[in-house]
Amino acid sequence: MKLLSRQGFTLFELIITVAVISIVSSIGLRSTYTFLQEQKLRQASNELLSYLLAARAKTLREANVSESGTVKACEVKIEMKLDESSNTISPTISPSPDSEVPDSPANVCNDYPSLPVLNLLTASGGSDLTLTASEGSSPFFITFTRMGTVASSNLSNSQSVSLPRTFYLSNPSATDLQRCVMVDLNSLRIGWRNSDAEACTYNGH
Amino acid sequence: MKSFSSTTRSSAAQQGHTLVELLIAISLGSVVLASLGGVLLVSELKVSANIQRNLDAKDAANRAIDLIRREANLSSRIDFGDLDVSASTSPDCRVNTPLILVQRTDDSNQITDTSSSNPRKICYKTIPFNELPSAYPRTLKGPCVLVRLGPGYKPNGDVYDSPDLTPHVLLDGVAGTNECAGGFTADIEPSSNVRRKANMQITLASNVSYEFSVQIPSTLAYEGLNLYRKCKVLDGTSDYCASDSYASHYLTEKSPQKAKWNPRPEAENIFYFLNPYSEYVLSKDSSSGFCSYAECFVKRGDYAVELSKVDALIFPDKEIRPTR
Repeated sequence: MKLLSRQGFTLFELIITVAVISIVSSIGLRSTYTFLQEQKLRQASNELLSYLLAARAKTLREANVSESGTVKACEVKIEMKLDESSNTISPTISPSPDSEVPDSPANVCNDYPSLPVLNLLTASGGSDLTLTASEGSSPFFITFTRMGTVASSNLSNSQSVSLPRTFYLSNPSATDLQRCVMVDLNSLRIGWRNSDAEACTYNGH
Repeated sequence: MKSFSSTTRSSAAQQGHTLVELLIAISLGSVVLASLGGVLLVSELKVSANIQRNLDAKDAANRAIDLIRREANLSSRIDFGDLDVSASTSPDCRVNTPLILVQRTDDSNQITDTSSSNPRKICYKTIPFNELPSAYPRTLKGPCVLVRLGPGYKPNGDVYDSPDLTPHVLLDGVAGTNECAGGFTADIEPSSNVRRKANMQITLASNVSYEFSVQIPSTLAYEGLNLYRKCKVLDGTSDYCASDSYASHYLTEKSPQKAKWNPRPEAENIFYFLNPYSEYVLSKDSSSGFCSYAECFVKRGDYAVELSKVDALIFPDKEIRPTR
């Protein structure tokens, strides 16, 4: 019996064990990869939505008509921007530069303390995400009025904007998973879709 | 014999389990744990999602109410009915319209375009979910949605000249049947004359109701030509307050002529007096006595005017509004 206890595992046992572990791992790894990609998209869309909410809050807080009669608004720019340090292109949202349109409102989001430039998912390596919109091409502008509503035209170039407007974040290597951020006159919503052909689905109530 | 048997059992006990036994045991244990954990996790996720949905619904309702209040505060009138925002495009604000507001147009507090073909009017109404434009498919919950029709906003916060006939969803998941009536109701006060207050209620499909009221401020900030009839009251020459315009009106000689003007029940009739309140006498007739504004005479020296159905008497040092 003492000899038997030192016998070790048979080759058959080892093969079975390795096979089982391989199957479980392959299933788990795929699920884990999908989960991580979904989390990355979810975090990126949450960051985008949070930034827009912060811009709207800043507008409501600071964009009242001043004593001098100056009207203020807040415009943010969403674009695919090159990060020269890492030489990657990633979705970025930032306060829009001051308007060049005469007599247009000042951009309160550039006022101190201005909203920071935010590279979506920089911390978790989001450079492989792609940003598109329901219409137009990058850069995209969103202007919040002093009432907190989304303006029907841009502050920086006076171009009209069709609302609702939807932004899509996707992973080029897994386009069957996309997150959406819808911007309407008075609401911001976050949702998802499974392909370019589908409309976004939002959590209802 | 006893010793041999004991030794045999001891050896068997020290033999342990085979790897297959361990794998099977681990697998069974994992399945059991995963089942229990999965049930708990799914339950927790469902509860969290339900809480988040309720919070989102409350936030959306608050934002919708906030916008309605803000736009009411920048308006001059609340009304039901026949304001023709969307004459040929569905949804039509003329039918089953819960609320219509007239929007301020610029920072100088002037409503300058209420009578043109493109009035700056906003209406809120509930429509069936499936009548939303294609930009909204599958994105929101029915059976009804509360939408806003009206001009969009410029970056400076003013509204555009032309009405936007695209319904913008303020709130989804609104209750309602039969053309979605009932999900959003408004009781406008007063029932006639200039309507400045409305008690509203939004009812969601989840049976959660939000009751709120909007009050259009009765200030001098608005000068809708069709909504306000303002007369600057001077002494002397006889003249009538020109209709629908910001014109001068004159106190006329008390005797024998008593000037009378024609009120517009659908407008707010405001008289501005150039002199302090103490220099005028309010009386029931051309001589003396208490008056209730609706039949009031305002006199100064040898001049008087009868203010029938007046909404406001505004002196440099005093503002009088009759009780409606």
